Amino acid sequence: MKCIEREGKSASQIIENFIKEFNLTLNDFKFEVVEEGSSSFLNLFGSKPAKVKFFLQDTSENLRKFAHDLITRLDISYNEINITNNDREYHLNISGIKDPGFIIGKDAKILDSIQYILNQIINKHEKKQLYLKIDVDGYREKKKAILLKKVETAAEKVKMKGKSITLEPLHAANRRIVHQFIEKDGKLRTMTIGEGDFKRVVIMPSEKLKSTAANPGRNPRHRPGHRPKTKPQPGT
Amino acid sequence: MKELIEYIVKALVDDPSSIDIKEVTGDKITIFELRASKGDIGKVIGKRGRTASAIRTILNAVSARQGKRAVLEIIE
Repeated sequence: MKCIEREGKSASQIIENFIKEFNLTLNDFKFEVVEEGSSSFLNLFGSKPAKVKFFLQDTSENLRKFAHDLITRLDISYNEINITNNDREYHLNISGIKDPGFIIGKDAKILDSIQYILNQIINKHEKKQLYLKIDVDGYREKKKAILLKKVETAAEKVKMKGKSITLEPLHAANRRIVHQFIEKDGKLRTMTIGEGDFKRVVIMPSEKLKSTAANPGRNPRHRPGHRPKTKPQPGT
Repeated sequence: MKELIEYIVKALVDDPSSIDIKEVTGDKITIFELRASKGDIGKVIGKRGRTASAIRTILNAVSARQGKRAVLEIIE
């Protein structure tokens, strides 16, 4: 938390000026009047200036507060919240939850919901857009490692056989992980097929490899997700 | 449970004082009726109802753990 001290004629005036200076609202900070200014009797003796201390909340502290408030209201107790940030990406790791399965939910649905709502709340209070990720005891990290392992074996297969592989439907965040992982490999490329909840990632050999494919019997024109229009059979 | 909904919704809207939540307790199901001011109702529902469904997901999970069922109704 940042602390700023200001002096002025009266407490209310200092606060007013402070709000103008930093373009804030009353919710953005806390303050404490250190000294109530007093204009001395008949202004004969030196009047005392008012002094106000301002406490500016910084983002991760704000975040911690919101997360704490929300989690405790869910009837969940935890040990600590660890916040790391990289520019606008904030990573919250909550550890020491008694029943982590509950807060994560099936397919991390509950954790995603909490993450979404917390994103909404924090972005309402912050001026610049933040991207928040919540993790429980490294759950997402573990899931990511498992997913990458799967993708790795699929990628090997694609390279070996020169045929594309379609993965199971994944969430947007997971698809992103796959895309980014495959992107690093120059010999492969990805695309997405399907709609809504059934979007799937296709891993396929990149064009370059196809043209130099040593195995012409593999049908290099084959495109996954592309269904050639079937011509109506004559006579039927 | 009401406190949880109230906290989430009030943190999302511009005018928290206009939020009104009524708890209707039935035999098996508890219904929470949520009213908000006109400008804020969209914030509670969210784009394509995403915020509303996120609140409902959390609500369902918490109530299921307590052996109850809860429904959130947003009333315009």
